[in-house]
Amino acid sequence: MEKIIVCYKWVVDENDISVDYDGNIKMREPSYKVSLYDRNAIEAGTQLAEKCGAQCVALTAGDAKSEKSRKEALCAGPSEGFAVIDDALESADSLLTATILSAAISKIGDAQLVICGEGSGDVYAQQVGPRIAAALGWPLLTYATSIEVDGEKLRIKRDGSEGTELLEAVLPLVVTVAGDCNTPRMPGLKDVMGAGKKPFTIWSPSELNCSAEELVNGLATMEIIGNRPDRKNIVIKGSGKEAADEVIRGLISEGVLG
Amino acid sequence: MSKQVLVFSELVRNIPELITAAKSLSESVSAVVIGSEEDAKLAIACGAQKAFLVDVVADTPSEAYASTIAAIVRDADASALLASLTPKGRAVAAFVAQMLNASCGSECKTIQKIDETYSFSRAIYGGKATSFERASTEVFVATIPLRSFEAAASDQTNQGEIIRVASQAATYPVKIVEVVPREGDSVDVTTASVVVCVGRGVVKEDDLPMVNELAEAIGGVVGCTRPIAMDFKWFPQDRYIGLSGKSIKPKLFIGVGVSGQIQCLAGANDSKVIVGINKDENAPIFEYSDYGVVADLYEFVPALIASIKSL
Repeated sequence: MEKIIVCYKWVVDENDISVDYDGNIKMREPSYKVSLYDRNAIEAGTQLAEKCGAQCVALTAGDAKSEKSRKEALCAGPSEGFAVIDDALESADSLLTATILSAAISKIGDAQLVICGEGSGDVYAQQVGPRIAAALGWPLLTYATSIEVDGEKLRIKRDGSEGTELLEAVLPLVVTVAGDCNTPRMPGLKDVMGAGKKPFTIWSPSELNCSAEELVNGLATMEIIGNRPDRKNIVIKGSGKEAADEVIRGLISEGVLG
Repeated sequence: MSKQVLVFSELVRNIPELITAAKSLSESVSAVVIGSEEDAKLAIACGAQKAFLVDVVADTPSEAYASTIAAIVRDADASALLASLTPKGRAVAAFVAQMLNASCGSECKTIQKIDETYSFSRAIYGGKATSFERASTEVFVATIPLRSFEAAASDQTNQGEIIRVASQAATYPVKIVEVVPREGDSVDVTTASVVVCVGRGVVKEDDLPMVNELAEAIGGVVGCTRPIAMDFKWFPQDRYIGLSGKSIKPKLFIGVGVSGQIQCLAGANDSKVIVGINKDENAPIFEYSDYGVVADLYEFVPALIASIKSL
């Protein structure tokens, strides 16, 4: 295996999103990060590349903000990065994202394995990995908990309804990895410094032969309404018997205790 | 007459409820069945006009059938495919959608069709918001959470046609070599009426007996957040509650040292009553709590156990 491509999404840190009392969504000075489960994809690709002497390449698509993902993605292991950037990709749905990413994968070339996280940390639709496989015409395997290379074959584990499935696959393949497949490494200072020196190529969709007319979502968001948690929000301060009794009285009155 | 709506689930027992969902969108509903002739007959008894029957190939992952399902949807000229929301159902739905250049609504809470246009709602931002979306593609694919619709009643007098479809699944380049049965964990957090959830505020594994004692006193079971199961491995992974773990609906959820990251709360939002115990009064758990106890859990939990026992 020569080249592994890991895909990631640059998302708003969910902890910066809050919903006020009127149900309005607030994102005050949001910070961005590599989506939670995509960090597992990057780690899985990096480990496999280290084991079999392959190259691990990171790939993302998004609007101009995604360019800022360079350091965070590359300090986590991949030796090179690619980003497809266009304003039209700001709120790209899974159909458009997978179309763009698969075109980029073909342009990067020579990849035998594509790894995606199980779903993004923001919308968690869990579609892009399977869609990339369909767009490339490659076989797909989802929710891997471990991937090992054995010569020309991959040995993959995942949780099935009956137990742990052990699978064998030949390349090429698109794999999505479950959140528990590994623990992403904590980059050291050297990794962070080195990340800036790794090549990072930015493409526009037209460089992938995608015309502006093709940059269209199949889904349109009509409205987003914040779900203010409908909770009593009774605050009890104190750790002794009095506080405990107050909670107990509350639970009894709710009919969930006693 | 509106175009057909097809339904699919890799678990045949989910097909009757998908048929109910599909009937709300079109009078013409057919089922894709990966299974036996008996399974196809069940789909017809539940109201499918046709059952497209694909033989099961042993040792083959569900993904192997995705391209066959896409071909069935295309050949049937269906307007939509509804798949049940299981991990494999999601993957197959997304794959099929891409092959048909279709949009796919994930875990649709509601779904409707107005003037041949599909729209749906779903939770985003880990349950913090609901997104209302409309599909503009010719074909629409949706995944539907289990038990969102009543199962269609089976009526043996229903007539329908079983159409056998050959698949390429036998040549799929991924094979299941072995299935290792899961180690038995007698605790099922998804069916318990009270769940005590261990978060990172519980400092060490040696402290778990205190949490177990609370669960026992209150008649519940112990679950945990993702890092407790995945990083610290204090519990098997079936016990962790959250977006990528188990979704639970107990009558009472007690978060012990749970900070309230939305990835966790997304799995517990449907609890009837939530109690949060955390020493940081700014912890997000309190936003989601009916009763938020700002206290050192090592002092409060023993006090709570004593109060329950004195009832």
